[in-house]
Formats: sequence, C-alpha cells, structure tokens
Amino acid sequence: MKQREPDNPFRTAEREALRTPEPEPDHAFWQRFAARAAARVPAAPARRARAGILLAWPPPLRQGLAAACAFLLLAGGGLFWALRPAAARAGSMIEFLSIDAAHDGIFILEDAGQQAVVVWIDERRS
Amino acid sequence: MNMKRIQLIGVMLLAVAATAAQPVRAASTLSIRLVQTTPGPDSSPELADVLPALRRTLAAQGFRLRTTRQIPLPARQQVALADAITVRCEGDARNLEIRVFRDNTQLAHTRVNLKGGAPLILGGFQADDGSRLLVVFVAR
Repeated sequence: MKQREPDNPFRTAEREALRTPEPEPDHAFWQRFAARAAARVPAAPARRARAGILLAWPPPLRQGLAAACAFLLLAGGGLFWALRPAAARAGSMIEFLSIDAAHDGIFILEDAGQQAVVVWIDERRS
Repeated sequence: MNMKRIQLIGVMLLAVAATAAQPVRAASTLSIRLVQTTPGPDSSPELADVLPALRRTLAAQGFRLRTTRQIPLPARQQVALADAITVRCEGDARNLEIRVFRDNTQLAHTRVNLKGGAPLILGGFQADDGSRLLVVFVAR
C-alpha cells in the first residue's frame, strides 16, 4: 500500500487556497434575500419608448387612429372621384363638331343624371 | 396595431382600387332612334330610357319615336331613318364618326366618344310640320 507523502509547504498553501469557504449563517442569507426582493424594480418601458411614440399609446387609441386614417383615405378617394372634372365624368364626349345646316344657334348640354350629351341645333329652314 | 390588421386594411384598399380600375367593356351595338317633338306632354313608351334627359334639357315635353335602328359596332354604314333623314356611322363607340343628312345634304358632322348606356342626342332639325327632329344614339 502506498504511503502518503508528508505535506510540503507548497501543497499546504495550495490546499489552503482551494479550501471551500465556510457557509454563511442562514439568517444572514435570508436577510440579504429579503433586502433584494424589497428593492424597487426599475420601470421597464424603455423598449416601448424606443419603438416609437405611437406604440406607447394604449391599444384602443391606436386602433381608433388606424380606423380614422383608413376612413380618411377612403373618403378622400371618394371625394376625388366625385369632384373630378366634368369632362372626365361625362358619359359621352364630343371630340369634333361641324354644322352644315343653316342655324340660329347651337347648344351643347350635358345631363348629369343620365350622363347624356345633347347637341341642339336651332335649324333655320327657309 | 398588429400585422393582421394592417394586412386586412391593405387587402381592402387593394380591392377598392381593383374595382375602380375595372376595364370598361366595349359596346357592341349602336341604337339609333329618330324622335320628333310634339306639342303635348305625351311621349312614346319606347323612349322611357332617355325621356328624363330629354325633358330636363329641352323645352319640348312630348317626344314621339319615329324610327329605331340597331347597327353593330364597330360600324361602317348608312342608315335611313324617316323624313328623309339619313345617318352615316363609322368607327367604334370610343371613336365614332357620325354624319346626319337630309335629302343627301349633310346637316351635321361629329366625332364622339360614346360611353355605354350614355345617350348622345343630336337634333333640332326642322320637320316639315314645324316640329323638331332629333337623333338619339346609345351604344350598348
């Protein structure tokens, strides 16, 4: 059987360095735990603030804003459609007109209700 | 706002845009009617589709249908109506050339872009009895 060698100063120092520290008493550990738990947790909305001001709004407000934007977009499109120039709105368009009959006047009328175009020639007939 | 809502709004807007951009079907038939004004308010029932426009825009309130003709589009033909009125049409609804003659004398010449269902009323020509004649064109 192998005999254990006697400790030399270096081995003793090494053993001292690697020695597990003595555990602290229970009450000291729980005191530190309670102190950490009672500490104020810092507010966490830093991420939201970075993401943009709109995301910081409450969800109902964001949804309302989105709905309002969509409504405005559609209403704007409808308004543009309704107010576009009469020439573009008219059903039929006259591109050229030449009257050979003797006349006292020519009237070009547009009936918006039926998108009709009326060319009225007040013919003068001898 | 979550992504699903954004996608839903996008799809709705695309659907609206696609509906607005629907191509217009080209008209394939041209209806030509010769109409005469009458002193009374009575009108031919066959003119029901254009009567509101006629009454709103012209002084006369009574209109009598004299003749109806239908020609295919694109057109290239001369159509005899009544009271020696003849109409010559050339082209399709978007670029239709119309000439109106009486006794082979040209009264009017026009080039129009006819929208399907929207009437073009060309008239005011004097009839023998002093009433007025007008020609109603409708592309369908």
